[in-house]
Amino acid sequence: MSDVILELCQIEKSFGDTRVLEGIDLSVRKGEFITLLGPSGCGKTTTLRIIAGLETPDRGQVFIAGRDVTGDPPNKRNVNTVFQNYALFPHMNVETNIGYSLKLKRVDKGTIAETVKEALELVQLSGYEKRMPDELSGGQRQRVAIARAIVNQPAVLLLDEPLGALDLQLRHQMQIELKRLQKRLGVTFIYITHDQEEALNMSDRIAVMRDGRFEQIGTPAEVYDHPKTGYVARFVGSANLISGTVSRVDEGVAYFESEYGSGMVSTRGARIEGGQAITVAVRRELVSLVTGDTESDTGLRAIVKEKNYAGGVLQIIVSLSDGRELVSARHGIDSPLRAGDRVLVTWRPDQAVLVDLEEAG
Amino acid sequence: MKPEMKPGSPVAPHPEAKPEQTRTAFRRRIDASVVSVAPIYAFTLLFVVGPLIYMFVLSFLRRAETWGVLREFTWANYLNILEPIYLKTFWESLKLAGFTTLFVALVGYPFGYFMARLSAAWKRRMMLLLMIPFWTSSLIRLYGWIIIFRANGTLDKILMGIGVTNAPLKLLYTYSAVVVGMIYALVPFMIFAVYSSAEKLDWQLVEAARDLGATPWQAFATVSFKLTLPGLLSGVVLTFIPSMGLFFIADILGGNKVILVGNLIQEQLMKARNWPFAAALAVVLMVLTSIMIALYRKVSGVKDLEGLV
Repeated sequence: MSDVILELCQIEKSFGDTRVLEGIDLSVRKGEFITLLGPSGCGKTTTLRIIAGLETPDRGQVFIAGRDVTGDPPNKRNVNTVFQNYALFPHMNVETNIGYSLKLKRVDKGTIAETVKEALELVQLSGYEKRMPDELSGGQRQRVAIARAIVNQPAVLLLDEPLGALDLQLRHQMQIELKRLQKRLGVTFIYITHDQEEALNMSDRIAVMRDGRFEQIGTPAEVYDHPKTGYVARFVGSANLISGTVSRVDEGVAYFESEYGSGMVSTRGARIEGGQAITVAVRRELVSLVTGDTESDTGLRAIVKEKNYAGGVLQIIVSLSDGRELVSARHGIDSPLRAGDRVLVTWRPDQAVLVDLEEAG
Repeated sequence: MKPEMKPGSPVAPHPEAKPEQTRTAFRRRIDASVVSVAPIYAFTLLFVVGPLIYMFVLSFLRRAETWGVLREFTWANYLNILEPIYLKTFWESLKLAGFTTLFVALVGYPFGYFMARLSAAWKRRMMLLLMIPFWTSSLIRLYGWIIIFRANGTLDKILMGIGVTNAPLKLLYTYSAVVVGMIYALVPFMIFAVYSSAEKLDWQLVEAARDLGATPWQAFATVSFKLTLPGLLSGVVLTFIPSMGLFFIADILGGNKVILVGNLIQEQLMKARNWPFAAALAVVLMVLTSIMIALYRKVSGVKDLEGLV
């Protein structure tokens, strides 16, 4: 493909004895908004630093716009970074901070001033040229950091948890603004976050990372609705995971038995046979809790443990016979269920997803 | 007093009660602060301001024939400084101090800068290595330099041994020996000053500069150097001022060939017993260094000197 702007091939990196990245492959198209999503310590910041050139991979190659830049220093790469704590130069005012890269390129003063002005308009900070970084709020510093990184018109903009230090309301606002900015500039964004909601809201594609590997790369809908692994299902969709043995397969629905009861799942073309051990993921908002007739043929037997109400969503936590917990979430304030009630946990076959299948077939 | 009036109530109390109240509160506040800062003021007055005033007054008095001073006002001591020989001493001192400071900065800045980049364990070790010499009297350490510098001393033996020179260099009692001694004595202060500044440097700022297109040197010049400048500047002050007055180094390593203001003052005070003239020299030296520091701060544009001023 000619419109691939960034390519990572088999990137490996260790710090001392710790393997941080174990063979990362990624191909990013021009103008794409890609999010690396994963818990802290999964290697996402290292990946970003390798793209920026601040870290050298032990093995593998980095291509930017078709050119191998693996050995190039950061200043030779057409990428810029928005650092987690902004890293604004404390001894320079907003204008000098933003114009820094242009001044290095020996752009004439008039053009710099003009470009800085445009960039400040873009991030809605016009008139702040002469302020020093320590006179700005967190959100304003964030905007300056973004402006500083985009004036150079990078091929790829790297953002390392840029909204991590902001409060919730500002985060939501900045999510929308960043997305808008990205569309307007047409710049490729590689965005790091550990917040799945942020990833789902903003990305064209999400790469879910775990222990130095990509667990799944796909659109938000793919990752959310069709997680490939239990890990992705749990991390992105906060899904419940249930394992069991297939008893029969009938018209694209696999029925399985577990020690807590039985369940079913759409096979979606996967080759499933009787006797096979499987794991299914069911998202919290898709499970139903049924009371009364516990002799129903499918469902997991459980006992209501507690109810939590938060932000318009009622969470009911139930525990299975061995103490494992499942969560059901639904809109509403309360439910007639009480702690200690016996319930049957059920779902429709098409609401469950098979995860952790062997990739052999 | 009306019954609803409570002392310390946030609502404005009775107009007659208020001053009384505030006065007690005020007195209490004064008491607390006086107790805590009084010793510092007392110390400063007694050991800094007092001697300074004494010295200043002394510099306008006339020397007595045998011992002490006469209480007669005179400008003579200051006029005496304008004698070419004394002016030359001042000039030589300034030159030596300038040289010393330059070399100390060239050695100490990189040292302190890179020391701040070491791991915590290595920082501790380096710090210890830098501190150990201070456990010995600086005078004794200077005598060590005599052993190194003297004809057929350690340095000569090494240089002749590896064939760099074939005759003793006769370094002892030269200007160079004095400069080396000065650098040796003062470089730790520069290292500490730069180190304390460089330790606070956020390395991510350098990465940000590199990311924005700066070469390593450009990143250093525009970010690291600018942010460690206060350390360097206070190091310069910490080096320049003492090097104007470290008379014993010039004495021990320079023989009688190198006479600095410090030596002159010491000589006038201890040997010639001309206290007023020594005082006048000291006052001029002090004023001179103050002017230089002020100029320096003005030129460099740095307001706060790390740990100083």
